[in-house]
Amino acid sequence: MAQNLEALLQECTVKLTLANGEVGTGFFVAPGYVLTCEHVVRNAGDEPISLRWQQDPEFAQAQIEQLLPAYDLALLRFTPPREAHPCVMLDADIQRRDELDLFGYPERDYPDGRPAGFVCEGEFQEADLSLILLKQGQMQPGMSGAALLNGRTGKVCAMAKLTRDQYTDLGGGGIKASVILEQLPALIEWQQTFHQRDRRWQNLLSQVNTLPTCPNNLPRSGAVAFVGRESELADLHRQLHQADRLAITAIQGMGGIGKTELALQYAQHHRDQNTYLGGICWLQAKDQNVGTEIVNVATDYLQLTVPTDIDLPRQAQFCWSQWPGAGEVLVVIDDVGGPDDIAAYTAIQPYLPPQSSRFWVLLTTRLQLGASIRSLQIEVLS
Amino acid sequence: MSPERTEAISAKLDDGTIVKVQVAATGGRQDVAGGAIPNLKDVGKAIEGIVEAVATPIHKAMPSKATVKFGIDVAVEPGQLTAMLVKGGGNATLEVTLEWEPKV
Repeated sequence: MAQNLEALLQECTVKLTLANGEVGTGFFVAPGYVLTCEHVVRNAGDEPISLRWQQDPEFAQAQIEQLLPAYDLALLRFTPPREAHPCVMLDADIQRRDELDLFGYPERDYPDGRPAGFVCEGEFQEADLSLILLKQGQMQPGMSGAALLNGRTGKVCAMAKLTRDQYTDLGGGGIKASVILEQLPALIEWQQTFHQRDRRWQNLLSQVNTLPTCPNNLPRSGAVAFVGRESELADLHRQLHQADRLAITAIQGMGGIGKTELALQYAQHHRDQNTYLGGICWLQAKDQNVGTEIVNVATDYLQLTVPTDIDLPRQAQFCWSQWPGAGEVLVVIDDVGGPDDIAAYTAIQPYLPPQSSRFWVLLTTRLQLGASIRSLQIEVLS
Repeated sequence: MSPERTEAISAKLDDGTIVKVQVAATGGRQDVAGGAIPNLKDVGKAIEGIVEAVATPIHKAMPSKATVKFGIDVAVEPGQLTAMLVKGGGNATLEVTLEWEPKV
């Protein structure tokens, strides 16, 4: 069992050997799928590509599933020979000066593979391909197709492609994860499905030295034990994370039925699971202006300095835009109410986070807030 | 100019024999797939090309005797070997001596 992400990365990595003796590296992106560079498998012909995993030189034989020469991407398919292999977690986030690590299989000197570390120097364009430039590490032939793990986010942000000098630590270059996900969009869903089921990568993410783990301002629960809502907790997570990321989810039901408690239990459960590494933001809509609360959370928990010379909705939007870290954020707005359905939604609307992939918004309300909000009805426990 | 760094790499002959060749470690940018074993024949082709390029103008001068000295280093490019024209001794990369015998 891998104890840290570097070890898990190695467990996600395979050595590729072509029938003609050419070698490269690849990594698991979904069950039965390996990603590598197109130039690694260019001369494979119709022969299968041999996969070495850990100490097993004959782990599996792979076939080319899809080739994208313009982006130097190749997706290989194989039949997993034994228990479920792990998969890397892809994420587009990469910034200058991020520290990146890979595990690769160079053609010589290191028969069992070796790690390599780099610093991101920036991005550059070549034809239509967006590449990242790496410095301060030795990229050797055979490392093409290795996953580059971003130490800041704990996720794989690029794939090794080139060296700037194989004999020294001048660095190299890689294909960005954003290009990979754009060109192979099926990976997005495969990744999501896999990591919801297999928590190995997610569980180790909490070790990443970013923010204090999962900043949150959750209130204490009044419940001594929380029973009978397990299926609703699962439903809620599924609904919140449906493919349509722009939607807002509401827990809707009569007063006193347990909406707030359900939301709180959901938030606490996922705080402990480290699902939302960017934090969990609990906002009380009933007693205070939601905008003021957002600014308070940003000041107290995230140490943001919010400008005061702009109006409140813009202050709130500033907080969302400056939200630190890279992980996903759960925003719960409890007890959204008002004289009528429309007024209730209009009151919170200017303060909602932008439609970005980072923020997931969950409301609790007695009202029917309209078609743009998906609601989960909860009933009295029988 | 002799390269400062060299390395021994494997190259294959047409009959499949693998030989070690000392090549100039040229470095520089390249894609990092590995394991391709280049064919030594590529170097032979390069020498043929160099000889032809040098010999043709010499023939035009119609000397009785011509000597050309040059040195070859082998360099490796992704997937193939290539000849690097280097100093063959003395200071010149190409040393050409032409002689004409007086006609009798």
